[in-house]
Amino acid sequence: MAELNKLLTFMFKEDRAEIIQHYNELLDNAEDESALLEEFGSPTKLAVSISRSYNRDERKLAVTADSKEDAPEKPAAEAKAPEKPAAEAPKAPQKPSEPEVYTGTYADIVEEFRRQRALEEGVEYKPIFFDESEPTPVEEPAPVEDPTPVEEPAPAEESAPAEELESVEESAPVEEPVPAEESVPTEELEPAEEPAPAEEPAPAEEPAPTEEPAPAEEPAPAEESAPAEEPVDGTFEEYGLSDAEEAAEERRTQRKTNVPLLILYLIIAIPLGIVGVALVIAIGAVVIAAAAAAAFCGVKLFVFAFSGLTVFADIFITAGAALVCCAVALLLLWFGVWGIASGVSGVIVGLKALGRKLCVKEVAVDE
Amino acid sequence: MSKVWKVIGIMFGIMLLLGAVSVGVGMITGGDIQRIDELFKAANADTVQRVQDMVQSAEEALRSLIDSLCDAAKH
Repeated sequence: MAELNKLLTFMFKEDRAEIIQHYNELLDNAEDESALLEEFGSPTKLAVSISRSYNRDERKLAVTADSKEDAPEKPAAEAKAPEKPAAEAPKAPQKPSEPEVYTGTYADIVEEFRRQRALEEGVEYKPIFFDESEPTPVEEPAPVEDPTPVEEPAPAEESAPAEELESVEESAPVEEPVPAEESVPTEELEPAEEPAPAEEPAPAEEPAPTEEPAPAEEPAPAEESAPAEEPVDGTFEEYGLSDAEEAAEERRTQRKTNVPLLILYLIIAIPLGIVGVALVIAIGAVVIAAAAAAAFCGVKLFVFAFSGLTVFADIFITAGAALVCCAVALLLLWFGVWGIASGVSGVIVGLKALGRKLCVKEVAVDE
Repeated sequence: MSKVWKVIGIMFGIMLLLGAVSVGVGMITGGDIQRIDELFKAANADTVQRVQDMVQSAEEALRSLIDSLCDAAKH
């Protein structure tokens, strides 16, 4: 718990204290503490699952409701204790992730169940843990956040939250039917936390215990929930799924260099590169020399126009010709400089890319 | 890099335009290119001779280089 407390410094004090207290109560009420701790896993894993569902921004809105909701939620938390505690861990942080502003994890679960119920029935969702005025704007982001809260209630937790939900629903008459229905699928889902299909029937049933189930959960709830939730999944994926997927992708492929081929390529490429660079520099030098000659002619014509000619018309013609020569010289000069710079860099970059393409292969690595 | 190209292009365009306008004005007002050429050669005979020598030597060097490459290719 001390280590978990250190890892949860990103949360608000109230949330962190509540989560720690919740876990302490679970440990106190548990018959076998060692088994419970094994279910929790490592403090780091627990903190990661909590962080994924914890929305600090939304949590700010829940501060005012925390004091009101803590009392009823705590008894619900105790009821959930015998359930899978690991699932509860994500639930705790879930509170802030919920679009509605409510304090306790159980309130999140309740609201999530109610939301799912409202979506299934096609009725307007009205959260019960904050003012009616807020729900309307809050509900809009709710779909976005749905995947997050959906993930938060792990399948294991769902059974517990389902029970608590029922108790909470008593106080909130609207919630009663929702939790009742959802508790059934959540219980079914508990045995199969990881499989996403199991979760799909019950959006709230997302498996929370592992990170992998979380990504699977996200698409499941996204499918079930209204289309509005889909963007949430994508957002949620940014939090957890993308990390897991990226890591998985990295594990799947690995760059492997063919050393003998690389040595052979270097033996051929270095002389070719030197010849290429020399050729580019030679061409650039010729162009720059032409530019210098044009500039020389222009200067000579200018001097001749104003010192060797007396007829005004001839001066105009000569000065005009000198201007044209200087313009051509300027263009050729810049062309030569640019050609050398880009040519040399192009040769080097091209040889490097060719070498990487020929000598480095991406090999699939079995995890 | 594109910015430099843009600046160079604008400067080139302005100078080209001014030169073309100046040549056009000179031609319209009675200028004679042949007269200018004769005066230029007379005033810069040494420079003209030097340039002609340089062009000739460059041609000879290029011819000898081509001949040597051909001989090397034959061997």
